[in-house]
Amino acid sequence: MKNRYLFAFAFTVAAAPALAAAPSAPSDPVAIINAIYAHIKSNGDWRPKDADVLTPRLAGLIAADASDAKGEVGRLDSDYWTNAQDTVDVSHIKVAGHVDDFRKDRETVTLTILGKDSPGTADFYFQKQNGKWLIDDVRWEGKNGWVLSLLLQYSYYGSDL
Amino acid sequence: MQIPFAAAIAAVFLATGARAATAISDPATFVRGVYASFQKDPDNYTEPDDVYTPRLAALFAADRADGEKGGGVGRLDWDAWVNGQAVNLKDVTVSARKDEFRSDRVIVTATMTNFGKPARVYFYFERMNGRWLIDDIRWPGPDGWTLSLVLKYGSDFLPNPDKRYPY
Repeated sequence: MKNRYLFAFAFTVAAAPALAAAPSAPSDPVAIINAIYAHIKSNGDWRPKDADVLTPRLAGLIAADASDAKGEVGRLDSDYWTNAQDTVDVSHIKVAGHVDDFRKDRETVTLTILGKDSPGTADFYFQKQNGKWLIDDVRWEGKNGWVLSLLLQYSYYGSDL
Repeated sequence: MQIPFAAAIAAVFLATGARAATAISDPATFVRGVYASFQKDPDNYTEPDDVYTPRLAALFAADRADGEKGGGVGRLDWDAWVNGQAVNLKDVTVSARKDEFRSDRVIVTATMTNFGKPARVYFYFERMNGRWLIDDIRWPGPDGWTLSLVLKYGSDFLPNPDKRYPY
């Protein structure tokens, strides 16, 4: 009996980091974004694995960009989660979701990072694939806004000037 | 005997409205030509629809299907080349820029005025199996949009917050 408790305790301890590192566990796009940024808030260096939260297409574009760069900095030279190269305070955010008019398996989640050094507002385009909500593209709005899939493929995204 | 046969073939093409597949040898030249055609015949000209990558063509088709299923039009109900439903183009300029790492990707930038309003558009070309094809179109600016995102998500500007998720 004692051994069973020990086994259960050991399993819980071993599983805890994996669960903590799995913000994609929430089943709703808004909840996923809230969970990811809650993790970033508590650990500024933490980011989810691309394969866990991005569609295969978008994850593939990130991998292809890195491959094209051959060890150097690729087309993407900033953090697409914060639209910055340095640490960003994500303590205060607002998040809203918008379901596509035609299909329930697509939803746009708009995130605004608040504060005086805010990098702005991002739109996360979610698509449900094989029962799992995944991010198919990211757009940072504004004068110098950009679309992640285009930046990853074409270097120059066209500013919003 | 050859002449009637050729005439018959031509008649079939005319009757079906078929036209030869569009071949793009240079993306900027192609875009320049399309806008010249818009300027020449603004009320009747329609751009070719066989110039998109399979991905973008599939998004067009899926959007149309979603619209028809709903009894109307899809998410895109305007012309992506002119960002509107009516055309009066002037002062068109076209330039091109290659991707930093790969020679099979080119961005073509077009500037113009449409009914006197200045505008800019980016065409993202990719060469696939030796053919230059458009993989996306983006109109920048406060009311800007990206074609692939409009076709999939309705719009990529000012998404209306769903009341299920209050701030």
